[in-house]
Amino acid sequence: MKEMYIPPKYEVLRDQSKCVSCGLCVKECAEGVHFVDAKTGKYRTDDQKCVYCHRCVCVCPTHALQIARSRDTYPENANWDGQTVNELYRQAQTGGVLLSSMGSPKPLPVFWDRLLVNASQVTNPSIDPLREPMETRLFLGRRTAEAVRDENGLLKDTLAPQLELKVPVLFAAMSYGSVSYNVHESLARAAETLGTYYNTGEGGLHEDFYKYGKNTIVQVASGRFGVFRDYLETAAAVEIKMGQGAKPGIGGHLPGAKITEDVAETRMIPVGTDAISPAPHHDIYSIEDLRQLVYTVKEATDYKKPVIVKIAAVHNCAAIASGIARSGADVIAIDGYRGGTGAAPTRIRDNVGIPIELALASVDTRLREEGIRDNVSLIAGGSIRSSSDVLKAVALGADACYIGTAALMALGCHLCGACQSGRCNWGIATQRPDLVKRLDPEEGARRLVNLVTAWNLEIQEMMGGMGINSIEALRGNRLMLRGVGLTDTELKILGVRYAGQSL
Amino acid sequence: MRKKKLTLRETAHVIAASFWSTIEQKGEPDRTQETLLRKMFPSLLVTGPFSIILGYTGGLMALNDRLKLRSMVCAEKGDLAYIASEESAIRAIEPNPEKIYAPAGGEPVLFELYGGERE
Repeated sequence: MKEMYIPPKYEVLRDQSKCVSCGLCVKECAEGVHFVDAKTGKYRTDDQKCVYCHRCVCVCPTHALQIARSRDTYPENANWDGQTVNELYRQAQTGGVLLSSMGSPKPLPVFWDRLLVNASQVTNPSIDPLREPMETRLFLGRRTAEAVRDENGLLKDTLAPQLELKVPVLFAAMSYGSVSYNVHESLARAAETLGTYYNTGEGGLHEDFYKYGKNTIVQVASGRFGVFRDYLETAAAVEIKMGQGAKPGIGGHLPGAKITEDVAETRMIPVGTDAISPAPHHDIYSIEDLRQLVYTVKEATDYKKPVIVKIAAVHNCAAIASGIARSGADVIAIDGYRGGTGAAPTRIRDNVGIPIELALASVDTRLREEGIRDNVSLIAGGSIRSSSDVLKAVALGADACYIGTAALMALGCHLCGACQSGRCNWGIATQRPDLVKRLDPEEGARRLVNLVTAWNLEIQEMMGGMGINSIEALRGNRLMLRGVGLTDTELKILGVRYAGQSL
Repeated sequence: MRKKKLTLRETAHVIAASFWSTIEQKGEPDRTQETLLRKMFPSLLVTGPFSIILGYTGGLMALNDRLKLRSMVCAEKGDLAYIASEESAIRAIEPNPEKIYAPAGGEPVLFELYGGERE
């Protein structure tokens, strides 16, 4: 049988009247889309290879390039859309599991966009953040300490270890290996400047970055890559990764091609071998087992560091979170189904898990109902796209938010979703030295600081509008939200009223 | 307050906590104590405008929201204490108070009887 022809998704349009034949597009495209025809000497393109990362468009000095959705397609069919047909043909050809990266692009509802924020009028004055203090500083950790006094009657600090954040945003776990050295350096430097934290992901901590330890959260995941004494001791907090929003129920997979010498050393595995983390932790089959690992980590770090447990947002996450809140963990991180990944089976990414908005609301409600909300702080992640998403997450019950994809976008990511190839033209999801050096860590850190600073200003504006001058007073204040275009069930789970309903 | 056995002053510094920038300028032990209270009970902070007068067996406490969005004036004469939202209201009752002052937002004013706090 003839091999199936899969039309390219995109086509590259070159305006010959603008092109100056500088050759930058050829040099910049690691996918090999652009080339010079050996016979004619003309610039040509192989559209089939284009992933639409926008690199050539951005670097072209005369703006002679455009990328368009390909006109070459299949017979129109609302049920069998082009992507579905492509994937089917590809699988018939290869017999393999389809891989994808970044968060799911499927058009499922985004509840952030159906929630609207309140503002003060007359009775409760709004506050101008340019004139009055507007506090976005917060602490993450267990807040259940008893009031114990010393001989002078002063309160003693018996609180569990806390993480102090100057902004309600942290950088989410992205491992060295899945992303480049320069990404980690950008994140670490930005976290230090912003007074927040970045997360190593399950890839160990490069020795060059130990100096950023007080702004680093290190991850202990099912593969235990790179975990040893110094790793735990250097960090500000330790995160036990039970699951990831993009791929709940499965482990991690970093292809051998990305395991360069440096990555191998950091992960403590041989060069060029696939780094495969198992789906479960092989020592955790219950909350009691999780408790053992939480206390193992605490014991190893002298009870000086908060322990975060990260789970994927799944159907029963409220009950799971209730268990985790009793396991000794200080913080629970919940990752929604639209969360990003460096590589995940497409079917899992697009079909497993639930949206963060619903998961977060149900977890917060459950913990409050059970009177254990102060046992833990909550971090929400899984496609937080803007300052208003952060604000709404806090009002739904989060203490702070993880941003992963948004942070990478500040570094140049254009969401082409081809991270697993390792040929990232922006120097982000790659280990190729020639590509990695395209990302300048100083410039990267500056852009990350800009992004989070801008978000924080917007958060302060919105808080001021509501007359709330501490982000901690907004946490779980769902009366500050109203829904539009939501069903009764959705409103009930989110714990918000419909727009137009008063108190 | 009753559950955690906090004093009235401590309770005031929970519900009308000083801003971090103010706390940082305070001397010890206030700085450490107020920092700890904010870390222990952040969700009990009330950010909206309020003036409250709390009467209890051991005395009276007056407290303004931390930004002093509502007004409050206190006055004293002999063993009498006056608390009102306007100075004119106090002067209507006592035209010549010995002391008259507007407490800062979030700073509790306590008038105590029987030598101290009592529920």
